[in-house]
Amino acid sequence: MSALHLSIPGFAYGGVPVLGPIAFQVEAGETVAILGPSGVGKSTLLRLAAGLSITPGARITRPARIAMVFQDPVLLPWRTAADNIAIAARVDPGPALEEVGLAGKAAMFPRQLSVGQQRRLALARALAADPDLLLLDEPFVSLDEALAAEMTALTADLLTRRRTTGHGIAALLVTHAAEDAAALATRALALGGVPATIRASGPVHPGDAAGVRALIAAV
Amino acid sequence: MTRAWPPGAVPALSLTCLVLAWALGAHLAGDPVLAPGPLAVARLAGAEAASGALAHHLLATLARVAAAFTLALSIGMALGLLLGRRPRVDAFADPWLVVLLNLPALVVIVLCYIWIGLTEVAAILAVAINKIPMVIAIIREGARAFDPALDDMAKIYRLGWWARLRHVALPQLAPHAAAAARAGLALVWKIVLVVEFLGRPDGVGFMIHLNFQMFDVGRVLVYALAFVAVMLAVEKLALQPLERRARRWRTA
Repeated sequence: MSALHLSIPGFAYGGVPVLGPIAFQVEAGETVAILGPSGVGKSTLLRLAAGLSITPGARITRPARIAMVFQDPVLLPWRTAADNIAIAARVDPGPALEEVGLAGKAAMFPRQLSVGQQRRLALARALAADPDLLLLDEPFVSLDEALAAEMTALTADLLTRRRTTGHGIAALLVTHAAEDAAALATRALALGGVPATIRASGPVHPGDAAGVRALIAAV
Repeated sequence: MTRAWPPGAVPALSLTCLVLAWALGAHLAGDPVLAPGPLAVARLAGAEAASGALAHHLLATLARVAAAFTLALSIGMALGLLLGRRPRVDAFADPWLVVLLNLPALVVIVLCYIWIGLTEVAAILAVAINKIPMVIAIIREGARAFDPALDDMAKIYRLGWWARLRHVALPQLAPHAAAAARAGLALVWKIVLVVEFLGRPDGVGFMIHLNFQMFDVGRVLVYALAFVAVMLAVEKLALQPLERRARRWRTA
């Protein structure tokens, strides 16, 4: 059963074509990485998948429960860490905070948290919503290398934990970093050209950044 | 290095100087009826307070201020939010807003009294109508500046309208709402006095009208200054703590 089915004839922004015809699907239990250079239209594609943008002629089916981790954490700065989760996911925030190592931070406001903790909170919020489809929009792009590696590992770990307990959560990851894709994805699509289309695709083996780079180079 | 003044010393000194200047001016004018000094006004205030008249009229005015302020702020915020978020509605309504913003307060008051009658409803409505366009304009600016990323977040997590209003929209509007409330309170109480002056049987504005007809400058000053004191107290004791509470997350 596919969690996301997307087929668009193209997408133009202000009359300028950004995306060409693109079709792909994401199956339950897999993580698909969308690769490509900055500005190629990866995030636009993700916004279409999320329903945040629309385009004529698009045929997109997505599950009812989706969640998204944005480039910035996009937290409610005037609500506590616990409330940020409770408001978006409508669940008891305790276990979700604990899962990302923020157990003692429930009453803190986002600005009292470090950059890394804010990222963890955003991730906890997304997973607490118990989504069937998780969308990740360059979630680690502005972080330093150590923090990015830490967040990638945490995300991979949390996804694996859900999948091994029988929840076939699907994930769609937008990234330009081969390392992120190698750590998280099971399959990759490489975007290229103007307007952008899928130029290459293939499976990703865990940790195989070189393989991902080869895929990008094929574009 | 200059020595630090104890907190509150400068305003206290400044106000003392103002009262002294008033006393000096009254002394030089030499007319206790047309230009009473601070002591004479204080004695009159004591008499008005003892008779209960001062409290009665202050409360009447305060109730009207509260009603008109609440009405203006809630309607103005709802419409300002609508206009800030819906460019088409805004494009249509903007000329109306410009007209209303430039309509003299006196015209609204006179029309309300003529059309509705010399009633409490007309008085409060007239004040609110004077204030609403300003609230709309301030809140609209705030709503235009909403963070689109938070809108995306609200959409993805399918927040209901109430959750969006409470957790996403209102906190972003809080600084603008505070500005509207501050500017609004100052405007509302002054217009309430005019409304009372023209057509109410009690309140500070009514007493100023009455004492104006009697040429009783002392009592005019008693009521005016008493109400200034009340409004400053409202600002200090109600508005400022509310603002502090709304800003807690910034400084936390």
